[in-house]
Amino acid sequence: MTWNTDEHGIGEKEFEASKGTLTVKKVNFLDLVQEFELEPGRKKRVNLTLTPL
Amino acid sequence: MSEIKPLYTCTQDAFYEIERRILVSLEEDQPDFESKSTNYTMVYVNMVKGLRVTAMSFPNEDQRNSTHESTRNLLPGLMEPIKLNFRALQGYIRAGWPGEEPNPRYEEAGLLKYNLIRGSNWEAVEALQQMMLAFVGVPANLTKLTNPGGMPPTFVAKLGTDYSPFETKFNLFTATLDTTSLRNAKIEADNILYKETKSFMKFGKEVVYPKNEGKKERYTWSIVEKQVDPHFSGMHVKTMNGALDVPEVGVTLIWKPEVNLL
Repeated sequence: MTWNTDEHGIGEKEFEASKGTLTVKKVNFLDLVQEFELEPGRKKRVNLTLTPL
Repeated sequence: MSEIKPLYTCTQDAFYEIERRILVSLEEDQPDFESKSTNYTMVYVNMVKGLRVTAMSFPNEDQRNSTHESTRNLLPGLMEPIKLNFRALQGYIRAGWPGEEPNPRYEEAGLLKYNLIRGSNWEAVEALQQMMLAFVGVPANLTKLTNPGGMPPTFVAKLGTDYSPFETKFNLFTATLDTTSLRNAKIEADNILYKETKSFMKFGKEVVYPKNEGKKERYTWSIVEKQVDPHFSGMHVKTMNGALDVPEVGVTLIWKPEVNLL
């Protein structure tokens, strides 16, 4: 499941509730990898800060 | 300011959909309700429908964030003409008081505020504008700035017209900054709708349809809630550039599920 952030830095996607890993990538930035548990019926809101290389 | 809690436990989108379905039922069953209580007229039905429209009309969290962020991104460009005006005013001061050390007058016209403008110090821009206006507003200064300073007669008006676009966006920026009060206003409207809905649902179950299981289900919140897609989930991710403190566009997000909870 892959998607991208828009001009506001926001990336939104609907999919089935699950436990899993979110990987965040952009050229010239450090990759971020975080685990999340998504609840049924709720969209998980996450704020992430990218560190430039 | 403390946050008001929603009385419902589902998502806000699901809440509005549940309300829509229940209000469709109420409109269909309105004659049965009115036969048991004259309070439940079509005027009442339309009043509750109006509560839903009102609650939905308040901006949701995404809309509030979007306005705030897009406004913030505009401010750096809008403050440039104000900074250029200060640099022009410095030139008129130098020429207006030839042979004098200009720094005290620069400071009187806002130099220290100008030096404070870094990144997002919008209040310094506001203060700089006020100090420039105050400086050119002194008749003796205006005379010197005009001759021998060489300040065009349109400069004072230009200070105002160049500031106006910044002021408009800055006011919008500060208005959307207080997201707690904006969020509270929406949740408060949601809760008014919820309380009213629960009130007629109780009447529907206990008085209008006490022995009609099918009809009772239409006024049982948990049953309607289950009918409104209970399976969707997902993510709303916001990425910021840690060095520049601005939203980061075009970031790739990859979700790899490990265990399906459903």
